[in-house]
Amino acid sequence: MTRRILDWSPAALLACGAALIAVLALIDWQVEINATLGFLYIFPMVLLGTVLGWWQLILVAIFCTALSDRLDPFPADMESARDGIIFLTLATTGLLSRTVTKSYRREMESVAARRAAEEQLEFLIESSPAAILTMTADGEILLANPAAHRLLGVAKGSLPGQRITRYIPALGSIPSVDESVKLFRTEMQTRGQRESGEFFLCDVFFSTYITAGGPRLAALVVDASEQLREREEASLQQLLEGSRILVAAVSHEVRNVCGAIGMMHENLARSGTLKGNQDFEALGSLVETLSKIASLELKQSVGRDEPSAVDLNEVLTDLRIVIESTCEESEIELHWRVPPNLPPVYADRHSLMQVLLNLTKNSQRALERLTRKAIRISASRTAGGVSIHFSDSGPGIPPGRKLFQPLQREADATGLGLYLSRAFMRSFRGDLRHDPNAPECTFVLDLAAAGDAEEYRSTLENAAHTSVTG
Amino acid sequence: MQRIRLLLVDDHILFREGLRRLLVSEPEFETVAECGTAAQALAALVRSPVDIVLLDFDLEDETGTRFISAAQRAGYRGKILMVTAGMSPLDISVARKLGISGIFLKHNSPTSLLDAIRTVAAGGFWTDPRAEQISQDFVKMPAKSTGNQLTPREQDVLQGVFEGLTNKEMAHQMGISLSSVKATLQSLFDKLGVRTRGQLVRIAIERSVETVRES
Repeated sequence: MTRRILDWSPAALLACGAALIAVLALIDWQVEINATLGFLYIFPMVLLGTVLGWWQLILVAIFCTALSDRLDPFPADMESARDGIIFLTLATTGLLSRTVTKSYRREMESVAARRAAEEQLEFLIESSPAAILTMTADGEILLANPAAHRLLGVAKGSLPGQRITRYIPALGSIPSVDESVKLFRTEMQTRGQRESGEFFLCDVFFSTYITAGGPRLAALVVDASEQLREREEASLQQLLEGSRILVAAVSHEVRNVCGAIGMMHENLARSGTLKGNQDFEALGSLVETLSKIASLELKQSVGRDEPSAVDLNEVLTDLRIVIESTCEESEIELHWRVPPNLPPVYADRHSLMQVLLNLTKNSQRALERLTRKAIRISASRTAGGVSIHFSDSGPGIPPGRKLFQPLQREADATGLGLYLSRAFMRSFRGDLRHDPNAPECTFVLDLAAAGDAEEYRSTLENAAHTSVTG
Repeated sequence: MQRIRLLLVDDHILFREGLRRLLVSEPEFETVAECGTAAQALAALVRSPVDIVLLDFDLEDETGTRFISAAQRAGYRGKILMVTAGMSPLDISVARKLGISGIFLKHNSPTSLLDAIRTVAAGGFWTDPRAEQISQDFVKMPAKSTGNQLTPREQDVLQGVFEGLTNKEMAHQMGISLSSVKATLQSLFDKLGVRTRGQLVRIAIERSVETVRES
């Protein structure tokens, strides 16, 4: 009943309270009895207490007291005491009603919010693609969502009561929380076994906690088997691609050397001084054979996959995630100027990242002993493509240094980094070059916008006119 | 007899020197200059008239095709024979568009290089069978789609990934083999330029959002 009344609108409650006061006043006026009806005004006060403020209730209590005083047939000598009591009763009733109503409404709102949150949580757990389980300290499953049943390959609703060690043994080894063992809130990668006996790799995010019923363990389990397979296959693919580019680059160098030796062999043969010399002829055959071996790579060069169109903003954001903390640790200022909405470019995401990381490593080495350390990375659209400018505040490249030649003696590391980086870039129609005219040590990565790479390359050749003539 | 004036551009000194000495033994050729960089070669072109440039593709920090563009802008109208250890299909295509007179691969015999120079000097085009094959294969190669055009099977597999199904579950649901699912997934990875399932979901969602916005 009370709840129903409280569901009325404020206007209805106000009207009802006013009507009740009017009815009581009418009765008090019309009915001649030797008793005061003033206390009956507590009913409209209760109603009004649900909608009015405290000072409004005081005013109404004064009004009702005055009304009662006017309409009651009692002698004047008792008026003050009686009015005082009536006023206090009405005012207290109204204020009490107001307090109770407010408290009740707050409670109701809290219950509704809790119910909504519970519904959301239940929906979240039920619809989660990750398996969610709660367990007792000894590994008995208390709750498991549908994804947990799917992951472990069991019938819906059959997991509660089972032991988790049967499916994910590592979860059974987690010490339960007590006074000596602190709370766990971490993750691990482990192996699980489905009901069918099939093994799988899983990432487990788990936490321990205490309830009135004892220590508990909650775990969120994600099947990482597919990711492992994909990662391994991607690594193999990357290894093969990297090896192919390395072999191609080395073969190219070998062909160059073979070409030079062949040329000298021909010159010696023409001079006639070694005519009939068997060692000389054998040397010629050896060079020819080596040249043929180094040329095998040419046959493979067109069979490789075409590069894909990749989102450069994403690659650069990934790079930023990777190098930001490294730069911070090395006290290198990282200046980033990459506009949003760069066009998709032809590249292999992983290879491009390797090139950028190689440049970062080179810069870190160059900046190691300097006081002012800064790396600047910017990207800008060019005709038909995008150029990434990678600069550092290091001492720069000494003039005459052949940067892109393999196995350089002056190199700080293997001497293959820039050589391979350029080979990577060229493998997806881009290029890597050093800009000697830039104020800092700057490398430029040219990438073709996904579309007509041939047109882009022609544009690059034309744009390079200035740099060649300069 | 008018001698054929040649400019040698190659950053490998030994090859350049060997070639120069080979050409000296042939009276019909005159080596005007030999250069190791594109800038030196451009300067040489300004100094003396040249009939044929024997041009390597990799010139330290430059490429042969960049040199061609620059030389043509500088007014060079003679012939260019690429003498290279190898060029990518794309570079061959670009070089041809720039009007080269042939590609000679360095692993062929020096005698055939002399034949190549004579062919080019006579106004012909020197075609190395291997470079020609690379070029033809490149032309035949279908251009990879850069858009979001997915085949119905790719769409089904993508939907399976969205629903969190494993490859095995997808194969079962779609009634195809596990290897077909894997191949389709790999094709999706290639099309969207990703390497993992997580990246695939992100890119697929982002691109579908972009498509919706564009439409």
